[in-house]
Amino acid sequence: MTEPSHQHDYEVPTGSEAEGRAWLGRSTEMFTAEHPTNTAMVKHYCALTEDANTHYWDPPSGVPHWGTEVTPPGMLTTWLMPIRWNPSSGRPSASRWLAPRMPLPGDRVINVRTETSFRSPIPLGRTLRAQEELVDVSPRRETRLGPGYFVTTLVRYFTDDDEEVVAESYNTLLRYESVAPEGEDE
Amino acid sequence: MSPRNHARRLWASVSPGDELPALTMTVSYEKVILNTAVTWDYMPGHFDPDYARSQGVPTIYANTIFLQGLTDRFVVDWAGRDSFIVHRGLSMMQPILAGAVVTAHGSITDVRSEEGVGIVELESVVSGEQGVKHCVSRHTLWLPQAEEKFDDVRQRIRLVAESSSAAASPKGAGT
Repeated sequence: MTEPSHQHDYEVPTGSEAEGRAWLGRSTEMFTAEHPTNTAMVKHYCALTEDANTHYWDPPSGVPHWGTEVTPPGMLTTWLMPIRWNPSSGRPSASRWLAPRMPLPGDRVINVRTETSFRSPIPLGRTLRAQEELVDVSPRRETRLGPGYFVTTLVRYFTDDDEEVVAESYNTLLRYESVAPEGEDE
Repeated sequence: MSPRNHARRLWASVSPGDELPALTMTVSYEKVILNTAVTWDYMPGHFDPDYARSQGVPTIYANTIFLQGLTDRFVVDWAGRDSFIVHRGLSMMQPILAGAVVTAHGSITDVRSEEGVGIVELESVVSGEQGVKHCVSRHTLWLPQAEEKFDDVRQRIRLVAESSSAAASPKGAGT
């Protein structure tokens, strides 16, 4: 067995179920992406999904149809991800997402479900803003990964110059206590 | 250019039961690392095999944003680049581990007019070589009619999206 390489800044705080439930209804402040939606990131994302859609590779080609240059809807969450090193702190920018930051018994996280509605395309060259609300914590459940809780949040996304929601997404993840496979150390 | 269809598909030309051409992709270790880098999702299960094992998963695995992009591409390749994803529901079952070969299959489950625009519902399954089911997606798409452009129907599509979001249950995630 090699030495575990858990040299990460990724720490999920643990706490009691009651402490977790006390977070129900809590919302983040409105937070803003660190940079505008941009063509470079769009092309790398399309390279990942092997997506040849010309509206992403040649954004002006989509303007007659959409009325603006557009980005892939699958990138919605990416635009709000924190940058991995910050010159003022020497550390990653703090994550704003609620579910991995709330106290619950399990310190492992895996995503299980998303429901996302788009009211218009996500435009290119705009800085997104978002606000997340904790809307549900399930009873403790036994799962194949270990006992845990399904935590659901609702994120509303906005562009920088519009007060109307551009997209909203329910996301459910499992906060759990890992049960290592038989015969393996953990 | 992808050999798959990127044509403009009209709402009147599709029917429930129509099947989409299957899409197969190899999700190599390189692709999982690319996935982490381009989505800025540095949850360690996506790049550190030891951490993935501590989660009860055999090795690093693709993230949700990859599955969203893969299933979006799968349906839009078929529906055409002028189609619009109004709603996407994604249920994850088994993680896509680095080294997997996955295939998406899907079909139309409903064709209707809503708020005066053409709406199509599709259900897709992404599965692995041994029949492992990785995820099920449900897409609600707007497909144009005749010369219709998105900008012409923007406000009506917004209403459909609001209705879809209201119907999305935050509960019942399964086990």
